[in-house]
Amino acid sequence: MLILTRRPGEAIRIGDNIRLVVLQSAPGKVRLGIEGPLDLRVLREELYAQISQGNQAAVAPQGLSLAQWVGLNEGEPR
Amino acid sequence: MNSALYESVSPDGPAPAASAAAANQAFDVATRFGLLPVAPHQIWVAASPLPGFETLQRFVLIGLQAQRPFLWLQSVEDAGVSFLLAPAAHFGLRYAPIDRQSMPMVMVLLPAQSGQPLRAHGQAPLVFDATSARFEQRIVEASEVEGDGVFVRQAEAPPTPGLMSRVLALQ
Repeated sequence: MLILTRRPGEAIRIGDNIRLVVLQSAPGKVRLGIEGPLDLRVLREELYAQISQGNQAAVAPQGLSLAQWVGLNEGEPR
Repeated sequence: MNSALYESVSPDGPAPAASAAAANQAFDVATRFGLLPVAPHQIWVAASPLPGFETLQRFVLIGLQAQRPFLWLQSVEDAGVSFLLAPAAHFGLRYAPIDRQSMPMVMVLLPAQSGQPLRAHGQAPLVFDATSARFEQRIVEASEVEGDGVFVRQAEAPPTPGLMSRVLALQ
């Protein structure tokens, strides 16, 4: 892991078009500003982990009969 | 397995016969329904990796007439990975930051026991772009979602334009 020391107001550039700015630092907390392309996905890591867990929970078990859950007239083909 | 397939219509329009034949050459994909022939235009690419499944990029949408409005999002690279999807509207979910025209879908979380309500993976709707055959899982904060995420069958809404032409339809 690359480790850099920055002060408030100083920034880091990642690649050609991402800029990470330290806006404010306080004991136990740092406030960051991120500039980048609109389609750049920026997430808190705990949210990413939560979504990852949700995705894994959403994998449909093999042999599932959907009719069992939603009262459809016909189940899926086997 | 019932492998009778509806022929899907390519949204790309007519092409010279030889190249069209090559471009539409179906190949077999292992799915939760067994080995199925999939045409190239039925392959969907994840615009950015799905969290938890970062190595998977290509998927097929599979639809069964008897299971509407549900669709299956099947990984091409891993037959063991498939997700049950439904329009977010069927779970009463609305997303302020997502264009209403994009008709977001959500992954369905199946309860441990039948009789319990189906719930949606509400903070991670999927948006499909039939023009590019790409889809994206949008990740939203809880505060950006309205609705309780419990399945209530709604009147059938028109699907995203072009989406069904890229769905592998099974009888």
